[in-house]
Amino acid sequence: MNGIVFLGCSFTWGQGLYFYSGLDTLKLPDNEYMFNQNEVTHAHIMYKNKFRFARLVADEFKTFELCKNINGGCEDHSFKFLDKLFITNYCYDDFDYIVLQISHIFRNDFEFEYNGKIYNTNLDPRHERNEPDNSFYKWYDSNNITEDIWKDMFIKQQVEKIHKKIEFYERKGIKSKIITWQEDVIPYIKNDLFLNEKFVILEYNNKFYESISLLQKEYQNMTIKYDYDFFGDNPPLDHHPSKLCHEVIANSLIKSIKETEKI
Amino acid sequence: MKGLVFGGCSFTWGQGLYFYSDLPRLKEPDQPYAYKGELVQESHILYKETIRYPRLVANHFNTFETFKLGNGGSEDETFEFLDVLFHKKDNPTYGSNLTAERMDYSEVEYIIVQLSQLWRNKYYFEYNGYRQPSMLWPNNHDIGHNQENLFNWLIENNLTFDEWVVLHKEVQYLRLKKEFEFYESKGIKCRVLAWEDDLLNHIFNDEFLKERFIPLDYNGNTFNTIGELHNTHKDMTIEGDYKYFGKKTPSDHHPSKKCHELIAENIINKINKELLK
Repeated sequence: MNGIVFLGCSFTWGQGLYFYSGLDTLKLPDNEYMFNQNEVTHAHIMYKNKFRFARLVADEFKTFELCKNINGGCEDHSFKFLDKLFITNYCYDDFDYIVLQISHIFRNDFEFEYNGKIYNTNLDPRHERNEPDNSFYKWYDSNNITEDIWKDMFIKQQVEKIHKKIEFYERKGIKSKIITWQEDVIPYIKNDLFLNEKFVILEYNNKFYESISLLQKEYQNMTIKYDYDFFGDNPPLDHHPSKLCHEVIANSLIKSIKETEKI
Repeated sequence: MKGLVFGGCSFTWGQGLYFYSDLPRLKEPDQPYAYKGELVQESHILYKETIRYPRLVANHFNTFETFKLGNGGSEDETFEFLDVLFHKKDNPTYGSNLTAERMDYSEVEYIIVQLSQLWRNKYYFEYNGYRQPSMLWPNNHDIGHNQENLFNWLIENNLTFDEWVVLHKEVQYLRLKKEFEFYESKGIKCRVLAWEDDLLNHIFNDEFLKERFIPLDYNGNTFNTIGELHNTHKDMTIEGDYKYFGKKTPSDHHPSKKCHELIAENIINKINKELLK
């Protein structure tokens, strides 16, 4: 098999996996939502690269994986990274698969039209209006948009973007698999036959989970900060997927790819 | 196990291993010893990293590995790479041709050095009032870097070319030992394997280095160098790997996939034996 590109956020990057290394240079975080790049050494990065699901999947298919070097992100960033690969160092035939891990969907930009002009914004109407004069709020108020309507429009728009991108790369000969961290996007994926075919449901202990979050809710050791099995009484304060969780994601992706490849 | 740091030349870098992939844009070098970076794509580089022996060893021990960025090199470059890796934290851009990584001694379990061709290393001598480098090969001693000054220096010091050969080997042996002693004093175990046999006598006559040396066992025979293995088993080179490639093999004399697997196996066995002690 040729290479596999993995797109995602800190869950795909492997944030926190270095805590399993036991290296003397590890520094425990003060806060689970903080990421201090300066406290993560090159050795930590190489260690987490080895145990994140991207490497586990690539190893199984005796190929290489390619992930963003930068931690975090959303689908908009992921696809920018992907598009850039092919105008720089790679050609489409270098890769057989794209694995997209959908992050917190509302991290992406929302496109709207107001007074005949198209805008893109990352403002969220559920948050305090720090820029009350922004066209987004004018559009929102003048169209009597509610939070539910906005969420529906947002997710539909985002799923459409994902559909277009995945379809484009399929035409270039790169197959896709999709997993998601959170649930809000799932009904929209299921409504899209093309994307639904690529959607991978996580399997653990003969049970099925449609998102990483649902798996983490059921098994506390799927999250680093609750992985008492590995760390004992004091796990590092980190809400990212545990080493076991990466293994579960990897195994589910491997199974799905093998089914597609009829291996 | 903590991390593994590998030193070496194109043999460790994994030159030619990309020919085992199905990737597009694979192009053979003009001749088996050549390397043209512009013919090797990013995807080829990522692929060969997955099957070269450093990754195979690291995978066995469930840890990570690192090696310098560029292809080729010598022990001069290997020890410079280690110096940048461990000692240039305050200067993150220094040695960026070798590595962008920085490490603490405490993050590394083993340094494994593959000796390349000894004559790739510079020989320093003092002549005309300043210390200067030279680079000459014994079987080609009328051509080389700074050979004129070196020859003048040999004449001034009543030394023959053959005596210089002995001197150069001695310097390389002492450097290897000194570097290993230094990193061992920092808690990192050091091991060595060789492509060619130039330093073997020194290594076997030195208990410290001898016990750190990794010979290659294959099919009931022991090979002290990769070169010796290649001479006996042609399929251990890419160009001799007819079993994998069929009649038309890529024109590349570097270790085959099987050779990388064999080197990995021998390193793993050496480490495993030590872990059992």
